[in-house]
Amino acid sequence: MKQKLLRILPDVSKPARYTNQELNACHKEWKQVAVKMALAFPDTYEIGMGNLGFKILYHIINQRQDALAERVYMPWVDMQQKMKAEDLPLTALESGQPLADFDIVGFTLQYELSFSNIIKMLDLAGIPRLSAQRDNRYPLIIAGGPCGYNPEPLADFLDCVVLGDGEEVIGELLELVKTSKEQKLSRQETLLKLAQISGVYVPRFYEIKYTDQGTIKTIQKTESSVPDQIEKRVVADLDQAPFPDRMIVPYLQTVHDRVMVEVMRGCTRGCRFCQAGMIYRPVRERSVETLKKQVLQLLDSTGYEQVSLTSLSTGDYSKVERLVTELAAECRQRGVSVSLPSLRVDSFSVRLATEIEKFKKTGLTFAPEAGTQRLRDVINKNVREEDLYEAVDAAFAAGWFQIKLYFMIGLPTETWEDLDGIANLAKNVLEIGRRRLPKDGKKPVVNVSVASFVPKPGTPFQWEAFTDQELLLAKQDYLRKQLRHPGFNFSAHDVPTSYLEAVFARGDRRLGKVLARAVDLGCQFDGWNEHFRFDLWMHAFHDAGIDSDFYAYRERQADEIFPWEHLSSGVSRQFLWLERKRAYQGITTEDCRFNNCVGCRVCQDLDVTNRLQGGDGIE
Amino acid sequence: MGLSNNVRLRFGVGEPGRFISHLDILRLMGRAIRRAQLPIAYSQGFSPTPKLAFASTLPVGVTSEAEYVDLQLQTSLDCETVKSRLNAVLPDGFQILEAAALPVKYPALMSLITTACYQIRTLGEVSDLEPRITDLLAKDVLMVSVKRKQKEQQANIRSLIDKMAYDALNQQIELQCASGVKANLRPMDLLPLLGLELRDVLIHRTALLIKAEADQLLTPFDVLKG
Repeated sequence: MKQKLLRILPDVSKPARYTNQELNACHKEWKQVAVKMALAFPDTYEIGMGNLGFKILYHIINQRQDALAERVYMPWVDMQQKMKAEDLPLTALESGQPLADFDIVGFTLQYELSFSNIIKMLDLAGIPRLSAQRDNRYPLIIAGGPCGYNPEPLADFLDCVVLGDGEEVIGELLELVKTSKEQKLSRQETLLKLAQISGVYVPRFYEIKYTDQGTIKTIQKTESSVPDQIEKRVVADLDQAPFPDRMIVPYLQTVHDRVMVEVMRGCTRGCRFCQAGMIYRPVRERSVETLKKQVLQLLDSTGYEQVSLTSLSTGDYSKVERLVTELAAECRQRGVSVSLPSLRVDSFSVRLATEIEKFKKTGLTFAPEAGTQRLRDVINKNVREEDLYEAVDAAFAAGWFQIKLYFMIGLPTETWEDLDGIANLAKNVLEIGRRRLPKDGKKPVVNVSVASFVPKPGTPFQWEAFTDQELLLAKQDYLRKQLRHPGFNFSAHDVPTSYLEAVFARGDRRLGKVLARAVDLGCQFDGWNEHFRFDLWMHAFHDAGIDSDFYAYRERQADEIFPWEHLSSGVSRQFLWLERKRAYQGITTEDCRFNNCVGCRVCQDLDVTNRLQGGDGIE
Repeated sequence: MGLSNNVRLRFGVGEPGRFISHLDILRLMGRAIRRAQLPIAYSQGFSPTPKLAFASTLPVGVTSEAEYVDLQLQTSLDCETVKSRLNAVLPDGFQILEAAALPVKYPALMSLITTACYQIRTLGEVSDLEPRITDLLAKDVLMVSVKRKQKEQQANIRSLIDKMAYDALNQQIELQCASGVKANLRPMDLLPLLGLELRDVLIHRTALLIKAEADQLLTPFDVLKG
């Protein structure tokens, strides 16, 4: 098999995607390990290698004597053709074993538009698509990740879905699969046992009934021993949680090709559109000491020239100043640079960025998300116009000349005045740059990037309608015209892509038919503009007899049963509804890290708390 | 002996190293040097980069036993120490084969290289390679399409071929051709003329050479002995 693979490699683009043997990859003796798990990423090697969750799970699983983890990514289209021509199935990188020979294949659900790739990968591996078609001859197909809070469009394909922090569940899962192999349990028996693990959802044990209008009537479990509602698992103390001391260093350049440490998990700023800000609660920070130790270990074992301090909002880390100052000093001696992936909109964050980027000052990115204070209050993005101006003023003063501004359009209650607000903010930022930057030097550039708002499960906006595609395009044009001046670059997300994302984000099991049909028609790599075929998708909806607008454009009733009603991130439906009401009243909600509990119920119901290193948390 | 701030290394590229680009090799060497904790010198400026100077870019897919890189260190180190410390941390497909001290001032290696030698081993049975090569060498003009700056172009490569012969015993073509900044032949560009495809062969670089006085060919290590 490997020889065959080697022969086709010279004919494919970026062959090093498929060669493995990277530094720090873990190769175990296949026959001597009881449980074998493939970590499957439904996108290219370059994208998948940047995923921190996979690095953590790879480390935890391979630490065990009785288990191994290997990686598999979606082969690029040219490689798929070669594999087909040579009759090669999809194999894992480390051992070159077919995916079908593993005990468990774990997919990550990062993005709705990668769902088609999951089915395509099963096809390439020769594994039957449907859970009902698979017995013990085939691996368990499991999944986790942010889209796991509504995996319903994939319900027929997946054997189980893990909700919450994977490092909490993975050990129990491997133990169970190991014993069920030893005891030769049937697939059905194994799944029933898996459903007893807290945080594990087995779709086949839940039956969905629909009303005449097409909404959900009931979600009922079909086995008495499975839970009515599956609650996510949480790492209570991130500082004690396992983290790799070595990371695979790829031969070719990948996304996030650098040392990554996770400064904290969760965010309680409470932006009402943001799924991550809801599902990863509460906030758990690592200590400065632990982070420094991890960074130095990883630099030693990888030789990387860059460190990234990752989290949903690293500027909010309570000891960020100390961490950045101390790390930057340590790293500078080694010729290593430090980067902060997400900047808060304020001058403090710019000061931090200045601290670490002494030399290279190209661009800084800020995300005000909406153009007016009114709309920012609606979405609870607690950034004031002055904050942005102070931040960019500080940035221009420090020598940056390119500012990127992220906005969303199609937000609830949005009017044309809010779009004027976006243009005004951008114009004022450019004006500040012109005043600040020396006349004879580089000219300021303001890049305005506009995404379409997609309502996501588990957020206060889960009831909202996705804005009509025509209207979104008109809004994009409206902004483009206003920003057609020297000094601005305007870019906008592809509208049909966002529409499809909106359909699947809140889709139910009936969409499984559409997914299967779309893959048959040739849909894959939908997140890649050059491969996205909206026409084929519409064809697939038509063939399956399903109206996609029903999922995208319909505002949900207050008491509507969602497809994900039985899956819980711990944030209560009552809280989300209250937040939605507040949105329409323009009332903001504070961050519970620094103020009172806002009543989202995560801490009470999951028996956890915010854990801040600054000591301000409710210990 | 061999203590120097400037070190010339010869390294080999095997599987799976042959499948990555020159830029990837550059990054990989930089990272290996960090892991080996060698006191490499950095360029001044906006984004400091380690002071490495490669002799040549190796075409993707080709293995080699004749790649060269010059390192500039902040302090003097024994050349053998540099070699062994790097070999301890290099990933599969890369190995340092030889190391020697460089004089402080030395011209950029890349500007010196003129010639390369390759072995092109055929994987299956190819019966009449010998006459095909003889035919080829008898011609004055050999047009092939080559990619330059993303564009397909026709080019006459006859003058770039110094020597070519078929070694029937080992089933491989021995090729000596122009290589360097002034004139360069990628061995794979020659394959269509021989009726071969890239997947039919394994290409291995055996030497990178510098044309000296009286057309004498020297390795980048020979020139140091001069």
